Amino acid sequence: MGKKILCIDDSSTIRMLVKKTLLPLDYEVLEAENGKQGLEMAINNPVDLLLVDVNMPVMNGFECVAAVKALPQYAKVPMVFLTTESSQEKKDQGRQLGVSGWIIKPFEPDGLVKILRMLLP
Amino acid sequence: MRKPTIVGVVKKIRAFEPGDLIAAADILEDLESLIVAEQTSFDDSALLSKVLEDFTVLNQRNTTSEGVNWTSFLEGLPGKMPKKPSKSPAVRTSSSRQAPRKTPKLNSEDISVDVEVLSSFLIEAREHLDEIEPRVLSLESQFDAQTVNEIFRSVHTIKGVSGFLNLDQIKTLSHELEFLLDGLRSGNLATSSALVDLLLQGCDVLQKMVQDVAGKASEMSVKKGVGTLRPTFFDLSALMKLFHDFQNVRPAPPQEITELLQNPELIAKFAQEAVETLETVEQCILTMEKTHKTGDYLNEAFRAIHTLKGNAGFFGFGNLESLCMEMESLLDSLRKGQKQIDEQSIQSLLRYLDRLRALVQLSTSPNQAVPFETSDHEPVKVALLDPEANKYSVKKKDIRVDTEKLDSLFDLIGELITAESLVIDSPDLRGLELEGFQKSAAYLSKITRELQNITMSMRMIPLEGLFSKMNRLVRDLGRKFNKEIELEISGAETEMDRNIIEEISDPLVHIIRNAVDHGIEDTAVRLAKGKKPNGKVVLNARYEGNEIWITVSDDGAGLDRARILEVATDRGLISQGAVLNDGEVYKLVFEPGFSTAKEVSEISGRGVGMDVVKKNLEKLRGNIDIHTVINKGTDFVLRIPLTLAIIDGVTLRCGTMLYSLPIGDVVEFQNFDPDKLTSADPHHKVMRLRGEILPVMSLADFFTSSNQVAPDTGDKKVSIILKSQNRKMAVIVDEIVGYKQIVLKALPEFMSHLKGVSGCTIMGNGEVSLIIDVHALFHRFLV
Repeated sequence: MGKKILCIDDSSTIRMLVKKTLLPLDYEVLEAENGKQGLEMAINNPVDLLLVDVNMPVMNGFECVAAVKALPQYAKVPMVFLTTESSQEKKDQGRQLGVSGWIIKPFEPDGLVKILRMLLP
Repeated sequence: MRKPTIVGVVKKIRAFEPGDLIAAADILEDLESLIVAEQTSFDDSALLSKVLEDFTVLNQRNTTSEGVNWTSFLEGLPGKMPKKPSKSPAVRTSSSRQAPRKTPKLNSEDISVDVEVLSSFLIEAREHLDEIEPRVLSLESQFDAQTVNEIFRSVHTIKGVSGFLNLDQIKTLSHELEFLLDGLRSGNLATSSALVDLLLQGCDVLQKMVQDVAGKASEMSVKKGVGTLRPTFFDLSALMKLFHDFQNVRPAPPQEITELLQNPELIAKFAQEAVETLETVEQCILTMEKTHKTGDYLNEAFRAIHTLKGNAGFFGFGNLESLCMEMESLLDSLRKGQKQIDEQSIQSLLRYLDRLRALVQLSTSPNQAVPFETSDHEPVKVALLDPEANKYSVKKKDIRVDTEKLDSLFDLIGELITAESLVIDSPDLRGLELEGFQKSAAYLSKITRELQNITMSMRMIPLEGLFSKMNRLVRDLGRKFNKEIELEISGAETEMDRNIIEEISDPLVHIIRNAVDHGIEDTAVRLAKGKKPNGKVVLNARYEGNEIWITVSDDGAGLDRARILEVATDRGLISQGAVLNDGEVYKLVFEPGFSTAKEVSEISGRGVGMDVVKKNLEKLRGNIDIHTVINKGTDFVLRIPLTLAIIDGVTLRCGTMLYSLPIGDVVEFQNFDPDKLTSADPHHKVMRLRGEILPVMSLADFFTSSNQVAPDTGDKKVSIILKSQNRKMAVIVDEIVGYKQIVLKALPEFMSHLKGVSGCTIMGNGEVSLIIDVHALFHRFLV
């Protein structure tokens, strides 16, 4: 059974890219369009890793990660920001939430795979 | 593939920023490949494994929250610390998964893209761009952090995704836009018109780029879901310079202006936009003059001209550009209060406008495809793009369709409806009980009706554009004749067939010209008559039955019946002593050759006179009515059929003939009861209907002139109550045949003298039905 990844991004193209990259490698990819949807989905479907965009409507990535992290079952689940935000301030803000790190968009699909293998050995 | 070295890895680890997963994966990979590499000694390998382990642990934990000390880890790296054998060299043997690294592609090169991802991007980008523009525009009037955020997110998404597709130019531009928006978001920048302009320009270019990619994408060849794309190279240097100027940072390297926009299609687009822009400016100026308020109007005019200037420069229209510049500086000095908004300045603004219009036409006409250039005007290297560009299309999501295609669609619908009735009313089916057929036929009719409605609505545009042009006309005429005239417009939202609007434009101009010139008296005369010194012209449009009525009313002197007769007799238009009713007399003013010499010179610039009114209206099967009251004013009513081709009509039989009535003119049907009829005199009968006295007309009697024998159908006649304006009358006919859409055909030439008939139609069985002009019927019967 493949690992379950929840991809939360408001861009359907990004979600498609993630899916196209991961599906052939036996990952299961769940999608959500914004933080709120992602939070609901995380509650209803236990996943192994979250890829979260920062800039999203309704509920942004920081809020979403903070909310998911607060759930006991997600305390140890790796979360990764998928973002173009590269300012120090945003990185610090992300770090304080206790995420594994970030991937700066655009990324090479292979890079994503490497990171997932690193975080989900 | 580059080979990792220990030194290199250590360097990377030192530079590593916790949380940067891409770098982390890279370092891990390097470490792994070093460990398994043959030339690595055992000691090194063990050390590296330890480093790998520690690095992995450190990297997987959140650094700040769990207090893992990176500093001590870094100090433990080789090169600083003495070598230490590791206790448990848990050597990972996972194979190296190093991917070939793609080098970023240059702009003008082919790029390979995943077709699915690309099309998803294009859809998404368009959606975002559609949303951005109205939001940016709204910022100009009111700053709203939420809106800025939304715009930022849209741009941000475009930037993020374009990076994946190696659409470098899109990425670069969206990055710049994002930068500006971020400044706005964080409060480092304030909203200003200039900033909004820049954002809009950026979005326009972005839109062009996306469109370009979409165009290229539609024709690229695809292999296994991967297509090769070569996006057009857009020269962004000018735009970038603007961005950087705005930020007061690094100047862009000078680059050659692109030839990109120098093609006829774009020039045509420029011309169209320029005309629209100038129209906007004109409205602004006229409003300023009227209201004596400047504020927004002045700014808007300034902005529009500024944009036009930029565009002109971009296209290399030097003359246009310098003229824009002159006008711009006038507007600017008005804006800064260095000059007063008075009659003189308004006048010179309008003069500029006219010159600009002429120049736009001259510069962009097809035989002037080569950019029009003055000797010492360099094309300005600023890619200003009209913020008005695409505005309409973005909002309405419309496409441009050749009107010829629309016209032939329209004709085909007409044919379709005729064909439909040929089938449904086919004589072959007469007397057959066909339940299924009737049902299907009803369904077919419903669809053709909807089809027709949609087709008609496609050609309908509001009269607003035409009406607003009249503002300027009345103003200019008023000045010319030295009269203070106010124009009141109502019903501008009334929609009309585009082709018809074109045809009535000239007639309307002439009627208004006539009203101002001859209708409205001089101020002194008006005062003497006890009228308000300011004359008033009212322009109104409304639906009336199956027609649109455009009324031009003035509160002037009214038409002088005696004088018109005198002039007409003088010019040999009527014979001496001819007896004419009022309507006929007034219509003489539209006869070619009626106009006085003065008036001819007035209009001679256009080479047409008031007779154009009559001619154009006849072409449209329209009519003109004139109502006038001496010293109170004159109403010209242009009655124009709503559609040129298809109407909903009631078909009826009277004697052996078929007639059709436009449904809009019919109020109700009544069984005809001769007992209810009262004769006032042998020629005038009336009937009472719910307390209302209606004049009664026998259609058979009315049309006896066309020499038909009416077989007596006995007592089963029907009276149809018709209305025209606020009058009603009953018309007695033999039988109602049906109600359906009828396709109007013009009467053949030899029958065109028929009174009260506006055309004919061919019925399903091949019979001809005459279409009754109800208004004319009233007119002829009641007068």
